[in-house]
Amino acid sequence: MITAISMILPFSPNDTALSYRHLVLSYVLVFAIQFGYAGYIALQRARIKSNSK
Amino acid sequence: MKKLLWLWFFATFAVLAYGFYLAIFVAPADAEQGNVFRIFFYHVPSAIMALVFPYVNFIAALFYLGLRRKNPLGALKADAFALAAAEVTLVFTTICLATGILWGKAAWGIWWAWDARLTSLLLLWLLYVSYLLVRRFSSTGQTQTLAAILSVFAAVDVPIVYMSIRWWRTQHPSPVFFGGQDSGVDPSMMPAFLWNLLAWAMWGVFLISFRYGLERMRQVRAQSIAMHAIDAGLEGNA
Repeated sequence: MITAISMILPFSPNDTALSYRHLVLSYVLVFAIQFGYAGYIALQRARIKSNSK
Repeated sequence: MKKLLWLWFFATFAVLAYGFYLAIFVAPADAEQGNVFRIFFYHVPSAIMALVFPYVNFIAALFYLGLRRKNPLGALKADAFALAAAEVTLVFTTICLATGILWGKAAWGIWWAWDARLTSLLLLWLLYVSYLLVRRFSSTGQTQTLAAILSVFAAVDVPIVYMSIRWWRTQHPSPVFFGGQDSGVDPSMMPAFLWNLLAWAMWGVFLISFRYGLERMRQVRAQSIAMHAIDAGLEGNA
């Protein structure tokens, strides 16, 4: 996945491969956690709404 | 209100996208660290939010404690707000720790150091994990009060986290902002930082509102179930 994401980034990994992987992984983590949490809330809201009908 | 929340969501999404564009495509690579420095654009705003939202949780907890006897409905709303802020704080603290660990491995060669900044932030994370565990598993009638007391401990930890890199010598870098003459980042990096700070602040506000709405739905549903049970009981006795 990191390789796939690396292909769309505008800069080549001119750091060490380790730091480059860490940069991509940290960005993936940030969005996965934040949007994952928002998605969880949306699911719970939908569940309550459907149960109360 | 619902319309305003979705409007806020789309505005936040636009600012997040612009912040991402600036962080990846516009801001230059750091002269010493190279591209791994770009973690900074998400790590620092997350850290700031992880130190701001505990006070939203703390103030809501104080409202809960103040209102719980005089105005139970107001207290329920304050408690829902406190819970929403606690969860969002945990999200931002988790991200701050995770991105910090990844940056630390690349920059220092180690995943973790038991210095004052990292340890006090880990303590804040553990306090909010405890807060949510109490909310989830405590079966006493005092759950909200116990959680509110944990909020007070968290509010005490926040200034220690903030001041730790000023009070003690740490592995963590010295303050980037408000740290004296040698602090700060290159002006060419500031737009990326400020837009991402705005974006994550807006996202945090959105998450708290969204989570607050869910908790209020749960509270209203629980009240309605309790009312039905009372009605059924009264009808059974009649």
